[in-house]
Amino acid sequence: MKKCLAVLCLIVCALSVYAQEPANNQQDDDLFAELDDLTIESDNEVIATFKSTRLLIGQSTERVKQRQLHFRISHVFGKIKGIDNFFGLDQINNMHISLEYGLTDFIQLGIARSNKPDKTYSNSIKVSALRQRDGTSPFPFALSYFGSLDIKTREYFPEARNKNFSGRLEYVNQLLISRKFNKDLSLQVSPTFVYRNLTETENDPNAIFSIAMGGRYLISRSISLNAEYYYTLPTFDTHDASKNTLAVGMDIETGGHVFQLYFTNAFALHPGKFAINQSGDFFNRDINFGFSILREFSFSKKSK
Amino acid sequence: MNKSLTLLLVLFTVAVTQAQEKLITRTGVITFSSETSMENIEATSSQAASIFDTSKNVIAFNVLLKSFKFEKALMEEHFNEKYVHSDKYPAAKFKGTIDQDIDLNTAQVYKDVTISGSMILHGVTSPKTVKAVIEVMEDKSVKVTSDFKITLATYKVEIPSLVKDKISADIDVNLEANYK
Repeated sequence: MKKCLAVLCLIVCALSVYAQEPANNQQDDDLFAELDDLTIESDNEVIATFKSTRLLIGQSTERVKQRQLHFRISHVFGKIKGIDNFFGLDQINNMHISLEYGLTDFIQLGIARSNKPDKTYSNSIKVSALRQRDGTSPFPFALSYFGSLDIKTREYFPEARNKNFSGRLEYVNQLLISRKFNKDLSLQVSPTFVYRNLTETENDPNAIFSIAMGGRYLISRSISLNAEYYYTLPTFDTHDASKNTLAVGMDIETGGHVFQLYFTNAFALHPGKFAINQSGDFFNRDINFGFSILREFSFSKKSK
Repeated sequence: MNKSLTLLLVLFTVAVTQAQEKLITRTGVITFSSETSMENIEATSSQAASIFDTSKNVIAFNVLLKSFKFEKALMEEHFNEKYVHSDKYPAAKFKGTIDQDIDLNTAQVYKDVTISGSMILHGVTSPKTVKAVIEVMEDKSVKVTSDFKITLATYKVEIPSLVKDKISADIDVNLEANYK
């Protein structure tokens, strides 16, 4: 019995010594390793895939976060054809204003107005369904849905056309799929479906499918080069491959603002118009200069 | 026989006490702020982990930079992406020894305590001494608060010239940890 107890004592002794050992020989790294286990893990969401919610003129998978408001002004100028119209800057082709608000981190609501060609008001929703993640539970890409109900408010002739409200509506649906490959390179593919209730002529299709492709490459901490191309599927007779929209440009980010400068053959800045194979011929110098300015405002409870 | 049992009990007690010599928290609150005439920026994390090794008077902190919440979402993104590169250097760490003697068995407030050690941020390790207040509560729990400054240049955190007026070169840090 006594022997038994002695053995027990020894074991307990050994245990307590063992418990003491790491405490005594503790190196700096051990304490930090212990802390690492203690630290609440972050959600490992891949951030900053793009600098802004637009690739250039089209939507990106970036979203407006909860209680944040994005105010954006975009312009496209006239065709760059010589000094006599100051390379297009004499005329403003399009004036686009948009407000986008983050209802939650995953649902964003927006309104926008484009003056040309139809004085279009766009009411949009963007749902960030899936986010790219790394770490212990990785996910390879981000997926968002962008939908917009556009209302053309310009005056039409004849009067019957003017009074046809449903004929003023068009619907934009986009699936946005992006992946940040490394800290510099991000790419996006966006199947796009535009439906117009009423078209200008009988030959114009109501339903148009496009696939947008684009990406960005960071060339410095604050500047990225971007490009995007809207390939419209040739499902209708008037399709002309040279009228697909192309935009190349750059993001410049300066703290609270993001500036985007680009060259594009598009003259409209809402997808209901630029994603439907109606832009100029980029390679026949139907190129316009455009830019947008984005300012973020916060309605976060934290703001004082 | 009785002696043996007593010995056993004592040994057990020692073992248990050993385990209790580390006070921990997972929800320390760290706030940092930058004040300039152009813009005030503030961010808070309430997920700072800390261990207070009372046997050696050592305190260590670990906070993930992505856990800092900013008022403006874009700022939070820029902080992680452009300034502290949290993909590469996910955490800020500090470890230091308390220079004064502290009795953790009686409720008392120790003001003007200094903790000397080093801080790791943005991949740079630099010696750091901070002033702190240590409060020992009635229930033997411990509260540590500290205010200190860090200089961004020390940790090679670069500010682009474009926003030099908007971000202070010295950042004020406020820390509060309640240990159990």
